[in-house]
Amino acid sequence: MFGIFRSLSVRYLCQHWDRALLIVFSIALGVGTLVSTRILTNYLDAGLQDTIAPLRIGDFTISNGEIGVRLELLRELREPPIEGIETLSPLLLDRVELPWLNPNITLHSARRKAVLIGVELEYSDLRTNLQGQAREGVRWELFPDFWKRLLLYPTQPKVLIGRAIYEDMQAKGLATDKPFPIRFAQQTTEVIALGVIDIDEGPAATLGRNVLGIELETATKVVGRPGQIDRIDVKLAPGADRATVIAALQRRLGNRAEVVTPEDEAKANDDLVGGLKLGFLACSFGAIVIGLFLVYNALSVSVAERRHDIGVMRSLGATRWQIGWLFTAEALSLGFAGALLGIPLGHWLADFALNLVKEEIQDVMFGDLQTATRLQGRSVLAALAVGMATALFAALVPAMQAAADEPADAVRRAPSSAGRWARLLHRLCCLVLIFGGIALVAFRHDLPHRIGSYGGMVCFLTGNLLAMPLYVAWMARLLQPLARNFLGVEARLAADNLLRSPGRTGVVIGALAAGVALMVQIAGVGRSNQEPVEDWLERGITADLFVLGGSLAGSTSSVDPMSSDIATQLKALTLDGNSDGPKAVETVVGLRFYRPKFRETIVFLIALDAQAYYEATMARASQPLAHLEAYTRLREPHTVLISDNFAYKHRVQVGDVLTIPGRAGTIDLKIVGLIQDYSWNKGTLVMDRKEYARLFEDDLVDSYHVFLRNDSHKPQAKAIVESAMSRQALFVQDREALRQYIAGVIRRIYQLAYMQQVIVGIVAALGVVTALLISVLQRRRELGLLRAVGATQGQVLKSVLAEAMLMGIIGTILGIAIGLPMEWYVLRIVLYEESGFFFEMLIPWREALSISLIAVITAALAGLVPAIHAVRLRIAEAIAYE
Amino acid sequence: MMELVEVTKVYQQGRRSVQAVQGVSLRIDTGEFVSIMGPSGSGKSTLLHLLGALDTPTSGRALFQGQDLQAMTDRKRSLLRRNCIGFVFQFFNLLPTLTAVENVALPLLLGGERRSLATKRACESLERVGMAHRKDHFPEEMSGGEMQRVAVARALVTNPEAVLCDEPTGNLDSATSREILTLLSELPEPGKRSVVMVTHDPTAAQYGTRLVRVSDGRLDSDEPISSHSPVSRERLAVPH
Ligand SMILES: Nc1ncnc2c1ncn2[C@@H]1O[C@H](COP(=O)(O)OP(=O)(O)OP(=O)(O)O)[C@@H](O)[C@H]1O
Ligand SMILES: [Mg+2]
Repeated sequence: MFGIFRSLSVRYLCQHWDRALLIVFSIALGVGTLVSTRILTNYLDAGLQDTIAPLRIGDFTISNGEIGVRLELLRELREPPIEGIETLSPLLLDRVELPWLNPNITLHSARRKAVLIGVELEYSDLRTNLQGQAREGVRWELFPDFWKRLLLYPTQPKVLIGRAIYEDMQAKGLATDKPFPIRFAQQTTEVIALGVIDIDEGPAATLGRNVLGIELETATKVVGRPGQIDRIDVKLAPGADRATVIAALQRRLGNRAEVVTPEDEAKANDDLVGGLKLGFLACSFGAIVIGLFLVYNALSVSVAERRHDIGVMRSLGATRWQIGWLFTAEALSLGFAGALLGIPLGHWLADFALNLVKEEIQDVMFGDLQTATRLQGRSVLAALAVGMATALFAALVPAMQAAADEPADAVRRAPSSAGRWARLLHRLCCLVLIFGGIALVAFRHDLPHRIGSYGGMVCFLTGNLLAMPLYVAWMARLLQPLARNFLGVEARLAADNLLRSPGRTGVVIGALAAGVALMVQIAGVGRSNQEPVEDWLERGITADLFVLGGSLAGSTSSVDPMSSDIATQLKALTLDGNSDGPKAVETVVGLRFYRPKFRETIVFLIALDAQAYYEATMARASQPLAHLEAYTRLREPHTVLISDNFAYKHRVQVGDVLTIPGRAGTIDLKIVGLIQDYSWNKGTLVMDRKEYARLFEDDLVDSYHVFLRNDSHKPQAKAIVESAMSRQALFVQDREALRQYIAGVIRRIYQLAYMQQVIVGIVAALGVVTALLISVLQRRRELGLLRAVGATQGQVLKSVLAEAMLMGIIGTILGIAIGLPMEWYVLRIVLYEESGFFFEMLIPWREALSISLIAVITAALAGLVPAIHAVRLRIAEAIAYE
Repeated sequence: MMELVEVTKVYQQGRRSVQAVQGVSLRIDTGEFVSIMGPSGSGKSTLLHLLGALDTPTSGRALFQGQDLQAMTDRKRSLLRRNCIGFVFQFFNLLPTLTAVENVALPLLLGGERRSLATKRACESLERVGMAHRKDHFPEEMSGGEMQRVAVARALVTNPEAVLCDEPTGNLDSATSREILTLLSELPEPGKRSVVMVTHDPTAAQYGTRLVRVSDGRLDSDEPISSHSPVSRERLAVPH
C-alpha cells in the first residue's frame, strides 16, 4: 500500500510541488485564523474574568458587582454558620501606587503600580512558621528578622510584598526593612514588609508577582473605605448540596448582596462580549470554509489529472478501496503539513492583533495576561485535527469520484458520470442554506438569543458562497456578449474560458466576493457609526482638560480613582498664586463610573456633577445635545437619566423605577429623562455624583473634566493646572490628546477587523493563483495552438491577465452586491438588537471604490504568476500529442 | 523560400539528451508540395516545427524567405506565423469555445483586424473548403473531417506563403482523407506558396510533388514524385 502511495502520490506531489504548496498554504491560513481567533477569545475571557471577578477562589461568590459589600456581612454569615459551607474568604483588591519606586514622576510617564490584596491573615500562623504554602499556589516566606520589624514598627500596617516588588527594591538599592509608602486615591500610608509572596499558579497567577498582601481590615483602611470589601468567596463543604446552600445563603443575605455562581458570571460575560466572540467565530469559520473550497478545487484537479493513471492502476488490479485510500492519505498528509504551518501562523496573527489593543486592555486589568495568549496542548491537537479534517473533507468527493470511475472510462478518458448527482446535490444545498438562513432571521424572536440573527447570517452567506459558481456562470454569460463585441480577442478568450469552468473559478470569485463584501460592510458600518459618535463626543464633552489617576485608556474604568478633594484644589488655583487672585479654573465636573448589574446585564452608570456639567456645557457648546436640559432634573433625590439604547434594550421609559445593587443593599432610582449616549452598548445610566456618593457610599472620582477660564489667559491656566496635578502624581490630558486617543482606539479596532479581511483577501488571491494556474495547465494545448497561429507572448499574457481581472471584477460586483445588504443587516438588526444604538445607514462610496480597485489589482497581480507560466510555454511541447 | 542549413535539434531530458534532428539541410521552394515520411520518433514533427518557426534549432540555421529565424525576436516569429505560415495538426486544431468562423478568423483578429472584415474573409476561406454552411457551429458539433477542413480554412485565411501539416489525415477514414489531401494539393502555387506535410501514409505522401524520407533525425532520401508513379494522384482523387 505504501508502495503505490510513494510511486503515485509522492511523485506527483514532488512534480507539482507548487500546487501542493498552495494547498498547504490554504489550509495553513484557515487553521491560522482559527488558532488566532481561539487565542483572542481566550484572552477576552481571561480579561473579563480578571476585571469582573479577579482571583476567584471557591465555588461561588457573594458580591454586589463592582461596588462591593460590607465587612460586617461576613460576621453575620459566620455566626451562626450556614450548613454546607466550608470556608468564607473575604477579599479586597485595588490598584495602589508605589511612589517610592518611581521618584522622578513626569506628567506622562507610567507609574509603578501594584495590586493590593486584602485577605484574612492568621498572624499566629505566620509567627510559628517562617515559610509556608497558602492555598491556590500562593507561597510565602517571612524575613528572618520579621519579629524585629514587628517590634520596631507596631503601628504601621504589615504587608507581604510580591517577589517582583522585592527584586525591584533591591535593584534600586532601597531598604526593605524600613517602612515605605503606598498611595491610593491621594491617600498615602506607610507600611512595613514582613516577607515575600510568590504566586506562580492558580487564579492569582494572572496578577503576576506584582502584589502586596495585607490583612483585610487594615486594607479597607488603606484604601479609604473602612469596613467595606469587594466580595466574599464561598467554598462548599464536601458533599454539600449546592442549590440548598445557595438558597440558604441568599435568604440570610436578603437584598444586601447577591450569590454569584460561575454560571452567572459566564452569562454576564457572554452578554457583554458574546456578540464579538460570535463575530470572531464566524470569521474563522468563513476562512476555513473558503480554505476548504480551495483545497477541494486543487484536489479535484489533481484527481482529474490522474484519472488516466488511476484507470491504468485499476486495470492492473488495484481495488476501489486502495484508490480511495490513496487520495485520502494524500489529503491527510497535506492537511497535516498545513495545520503544522497554521499553528505558528495563528500565534503570530494573534500577537499582531493583541499588540494593537494591548494598551487599552492592560490598563484596565489588574493582571498580566501573557499566559492567555498561548495555545495549550489540547487546543494544538484540535487545530491539527481541524486542518486534517478540512483536507479530508475536501478530498472526500474527488477521492470517491476517483474510486467510483470505471477503469475502462478512465483509460478512454470518457466523461465521468458522477457529475449530475453532484450538481443536483449542490443546488439543493445552496437552496436549503439560503432559505434556512432567511427563515432563521425571520423567526429570530422565537429562537434562543443570537441564534437567529447570527446563525441566519452565517447560513445565508455560506449558501451564497456555495452558490457562487452558479452566479459566476450567470454573470459571465451576461458579460460574454460585452466582451465579444467590444473587447479585443484576448478578453474575449478570457471571458469564454471563465464561462467554460464556472465551478473552478466560482469558488475563487466567491472568496474574492466574500472579502470585498466583508470590507464594504465594515467600512459602511464604520462610516455610519463614526459620524454620529464623533458628533456626540464633540458636543457632549466640551471640557478643556481631563485630570486622571491613570492613563486615558483607563479613563472610563474605575481602577485608578482619585479623591474628591481634588475638585476643591482645582477650583482654588489662581493665575498669580495668591489665594484671592484671578481663578485659573471656571468649572470642575467630577465623574465616577460604576458597572452595576441590571436584570442580568452589566450596564454602565456615570455619576457626575450634573448642575456644573449642564451649565458649563450649555456655555461652551455651540450646539448642545438635544436632551441636555434633562440634567437639571437630577437635582431630585433618587433620580436617574437613561440613554436611548438603555430604554430600547431594557424596555423602560421615563417614570419607571430601576433597581440596582448598592453596597448595603439594592437601591431604587426613578427615571426622569432620556439622553443620547454611546458609552456602553448595554445602556448607560447617569446620575448626580453627590446623590451617588450618598446612596452608594462612594465618594471617589475617576476623572475630572476641567473647564479653564475662557480668555487670553487660558494657556497660562492650563500650565498651572498641569503643574498642580503633577505634584499630586495625577495625569492631565487636553482635548486634542483625548481626540487622538479616541481616534486611535477606533483605528485599532478597525485594523483588527480589517486584519481578518486581509486574510480572506490573501486566501482569495491564493485562490486566483491556483484557479488560473490550473486553467493554464489544462489549456496548455490551447495556448500552444494560439501561439502557433500567431499570438504573441504579449497577447497570451494579456489573455490570462484579462481572465484574472474579469474574476476580480465579477468578484467585486458580487461582493458589493452582498456587502451593502450585509451592512444594513449588521447595522439595523445585529447591532441594533445587540446594543440598541440606532444609526442611519450611510453608503461608503469612497471606501467601496478603493476596495474595488484593490480587489481588481490583487486579482490581476495574482494572475501574474500563471500568466508568466503561460508565456514561458514552449509551443512545440505544448502542441505535442500525448 | 524555406531552408534548413545543417540543422541539429537536441532535447534535454534531465541528464539524458535526445538528438531529434542531426545535421539536416533542406530547401523548399514555392510551388512545391513536400511530403515527409519516416518511422515514428524519427524527427519529422521536429523538422516541421523548425521550418514553421515554432521552435529554434540547437545549431545550424533555419531560414524563412531568407530571414534567419533564430535571429528574430519571439514577437517577430509570432507575427511571421500569424501572417506567412498556416498550420494544420493531427488533432485539436480548433479552440473549443469559438465557432468555426471565429476559429478561422483568429489569426486576423490577433492581428488587430476589424471584426466585420475578419469575419468576411473567414467566410470566404470557409467557402473555399466547402464548410460555409457550418460556420456558426462549435468544434464539438463537427466530425473529424469537418474539423480538419476548418483547420485548412484557418491555415489559408491570411493567404500565407507556407502551409505546414503534421499528419493532417492521421485519424480520418480514407475517403475523408482523400478530400483533405485533394484540398491541400490544390494549394501550392509557384512563386507564391508551398506546402509541407508530414505523414505515415504512403498513399497520402503520393499527393506531394517531392518526398523526403527521414530516419533517426537524418535525411534518408529526397526525390521528386513522378506523376506516372504506380499510385498516381489522378487515380486516387475522388471526383467532386
Ligand atoms: N519535447 C521533447 N522533449 C524531449 N524529447 C523530445 C521532445 N519532442 C520530441 N522528442 C524526441 O525527439 C525525437 C523526435 O520526435 P518527433 O516528435 O519529431 O518524432 P516524429 O517523427 O514526429 O514521431 P511520430 O511519427 O511518432 O510523430 C523522439 O525521439 C522524441 O522522443
Ligand atoms: Mg510527429
